[in-house]
Amino acid sequence: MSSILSRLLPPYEKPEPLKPGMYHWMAPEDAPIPYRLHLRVEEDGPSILIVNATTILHLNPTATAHALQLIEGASEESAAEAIAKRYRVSRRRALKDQRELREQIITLATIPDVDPVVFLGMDRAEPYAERPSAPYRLDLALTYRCDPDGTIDPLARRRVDREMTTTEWKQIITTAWEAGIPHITFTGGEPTLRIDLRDLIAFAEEIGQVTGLLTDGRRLADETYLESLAQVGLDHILVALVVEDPTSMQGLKNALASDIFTAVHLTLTPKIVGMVNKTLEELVEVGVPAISLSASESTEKMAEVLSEAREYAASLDLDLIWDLPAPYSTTNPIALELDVPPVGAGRAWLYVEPDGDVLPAQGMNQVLGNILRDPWLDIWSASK
Amino acid sequence: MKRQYFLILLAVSLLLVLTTVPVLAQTYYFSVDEEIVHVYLESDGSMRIEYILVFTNDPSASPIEFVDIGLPNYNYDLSSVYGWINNQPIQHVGKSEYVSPGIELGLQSKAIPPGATGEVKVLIDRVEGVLFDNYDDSAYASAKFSPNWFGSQYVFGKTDLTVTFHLPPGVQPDEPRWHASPSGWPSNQPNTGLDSDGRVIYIWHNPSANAHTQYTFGASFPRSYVPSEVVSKPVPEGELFQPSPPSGIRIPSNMIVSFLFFGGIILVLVGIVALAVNSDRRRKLAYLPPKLAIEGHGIKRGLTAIEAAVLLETPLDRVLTMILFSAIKKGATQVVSEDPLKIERLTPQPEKLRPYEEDFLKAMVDEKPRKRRTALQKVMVTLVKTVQKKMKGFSLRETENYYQAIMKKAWQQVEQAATPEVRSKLYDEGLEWTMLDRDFDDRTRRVFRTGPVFVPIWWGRYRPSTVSTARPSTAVPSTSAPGRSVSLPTLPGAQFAATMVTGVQSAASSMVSNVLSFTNGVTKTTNPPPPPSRSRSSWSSSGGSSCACACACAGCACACAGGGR
Repeated sequence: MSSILSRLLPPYEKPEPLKPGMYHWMAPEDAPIPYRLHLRVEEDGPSILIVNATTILHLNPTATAHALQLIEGASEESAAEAIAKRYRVSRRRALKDQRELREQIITLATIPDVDPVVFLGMDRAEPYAERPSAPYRLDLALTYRCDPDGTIDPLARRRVDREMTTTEWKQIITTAWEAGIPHITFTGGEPTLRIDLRDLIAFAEEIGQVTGLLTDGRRLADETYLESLAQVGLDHILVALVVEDPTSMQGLKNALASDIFTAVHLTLTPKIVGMVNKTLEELVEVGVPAISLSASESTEKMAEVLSEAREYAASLDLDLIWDLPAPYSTTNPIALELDVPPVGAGRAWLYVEPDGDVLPAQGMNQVLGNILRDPWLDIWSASK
Repeated sequence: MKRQYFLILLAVSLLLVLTTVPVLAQTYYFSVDEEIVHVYLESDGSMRIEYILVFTNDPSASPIEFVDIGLPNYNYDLSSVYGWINNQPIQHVGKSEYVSPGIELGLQSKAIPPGATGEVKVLIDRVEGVLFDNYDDSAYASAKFSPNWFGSQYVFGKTDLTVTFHLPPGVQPDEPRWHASPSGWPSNQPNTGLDSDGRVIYIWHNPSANAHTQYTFGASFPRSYVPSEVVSKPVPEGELFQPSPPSGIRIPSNMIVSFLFFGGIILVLVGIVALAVNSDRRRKLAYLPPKLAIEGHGIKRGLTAIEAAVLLETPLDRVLTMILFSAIKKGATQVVSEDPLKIERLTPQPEKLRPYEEDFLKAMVDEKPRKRRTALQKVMVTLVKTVQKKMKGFSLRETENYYQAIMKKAWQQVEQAATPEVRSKLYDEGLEWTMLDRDFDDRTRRVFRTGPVFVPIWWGRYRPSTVSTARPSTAVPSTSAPGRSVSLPTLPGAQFAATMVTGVQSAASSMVSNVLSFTNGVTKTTNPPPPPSRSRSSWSSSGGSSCACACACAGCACACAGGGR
């Protein structure tokens, strides 16, 4: 009888909490639409799910457990069984929830322009309203050199007197991954001047990170070079177009012809005000799908120019990108039209200078620490 | 596995024993024909709840002796809970033994017999701790409420369910926000109005609801109307106002006697199973419904009225008419023939015409109906896509509400104008926004039923034939030429309204003869194919539409351009 009772009433034991950390999923190669998921499980069970490195979802602990099953490749049925074992829920209900969650996530990842609140039943969270346990993205300024002659970016700060080695950058990429940062952007200066750019992209991709490149596009005019970046898995390119330079435009065209997602950044200056619409039309003609816009001056006049450019870009069917580490990125169309623009610097992203100093964002000269010398948590705490 | 086999064996044995008591399985079975719930959100942050429940007991069931009602939480005062059965006070009101948190009403001698109908009223005068930080806007407080529901094995039939939220005194009509109706509800939004005390109310009504589904309703309002300390931090969905187990009607006491007949053995078996189940439950974690929240911006401001019309799924013929009016008002075109509609471009063209106005004027040049129709469809495709691009990353629902509020305000200003001059001027200024209203035609007639109307300065470009019938008036400041005064003619209000409304209708039908066909030609390009779904209705709030867009379906006359991320 006692053995029957002990089998019926085994010792009380709660399930182990979900293991905090980063979980990564990439759609199979034969999937009709490729997509990529990063699930960052936090202490106590909630998580952040990053879809295609751009869409941020906040999951409650139950949703986290469901999403983890998806990311670990479990079938719907076995996921439901695992959930029912862990939670006080029937298997049937768990299966229903598992299916719904999969549909929500996969729809979000593969079908554009579906309103996630109205049509997928999600809630909305204000961007960056809550401080995450780690940023969503780390921008790595590999160099402040701007051209092969070694001219230094005028925005570069004088005290940046050296560039880190390949090994050091790899160490930083590893630190970022271990901290739960799923997305790396290589920027500069001109990052394509670093001969180890391909290696660094390959390294980050291999450990599971999404990688992006911000470049003036000149180097991409060399198709072989571009192909070498594509081969190691570079996910996206933002070409800071030098309008008057045909090499930059050629690099853009090459990138658009590749299978790497490519967008263009335009910095609106008083000098090019009269040619913005024409430039946008040309970009559409060559097949640019998305545009990032910023203004070099935060004057009323330039704000108006920026708004008009944004309107015109929409009428040309161009998507708007506003949160990549482009020049003058704080003066963007979204910041203009919101009462309280979301502040991603120091929360959603951080910026590493060529010598390892960490800033909240490009152009914000507040050193939070050095990523080679200081513990990551100290740097992250300093950004509060 | 061995343990599972043992449990199954035990359960089968128990089932065999229990099947000898068929009466027990049929003990309670009833319908809730009508359920009316009033939820008052008071100035002190508390909630007052009033229920009216009309039960019909099945002829084969046992008398309904107890009614248990679930409550949002434990912060209620039992002494302020009252009940009535068929308008007679219920003497026994206590803490429920079966529903937690909840109360029980003992009907005693007034139990509802089999086959009879009874009306139960309940007043829970005060529940505290019911307001939470709004998830979307920190300046707002939110309340959610799920009316009482019953186990599906006990109830049958439809329930005519009405839930009314009375917002705190002082909340202005344009301030609060409703939360979307539950899935499958006839309308995504509640009716709004004022109660007899002048409080803003939201009314959700569904004549075909049921009493076994948990429906959740909610509203948000500026937190300044309640003391700040009564608004708590948000808690995950699922913990708010959900009476734990389904509330129910108790097994009548005479049935319990027959149950006792089976005595000790059954109790022991049941006890072991209960212990095993409880032990299994204790080993597991509490399950809250999975919840996903996406980071995105709120209201997309800066849309024109015409872009807002696309967003609000205004029929496309109406959108085209709005573009026509916009171009006429700007002095870009004038009507040369009303039926069939022909327009001509004016020179010089005004500066800064919107791209859709330019495209529209180009499209209207073609007099061949088929070509013009195709060109107008292209105008609409481009317009819808533009709005889609602009909306990307913004909240569709919040933006829709925002532009609905602008439309309401535009009407309000016109309706409240003190003089005909001011009313005419405001109507002219806000015309694009008032045209967003589905009730534009009737409302225009109502507003201009009496009194003269000072026709707008562009009237001659719109209705050249009626200018001659207008009477000159005294001097009225012109909106287009500050500092100068010109004499604007007047029309009798009714005539103006009739001309306006019929003009809008005839312009629309002249441009688009078959709205459905025209719209289908647009939506097949603008709206994405439906996402693959096995259980779409469970997460779609679009009332079961098979498309990704609520209004992309063939058979409706609009083309939406919502959201995205």
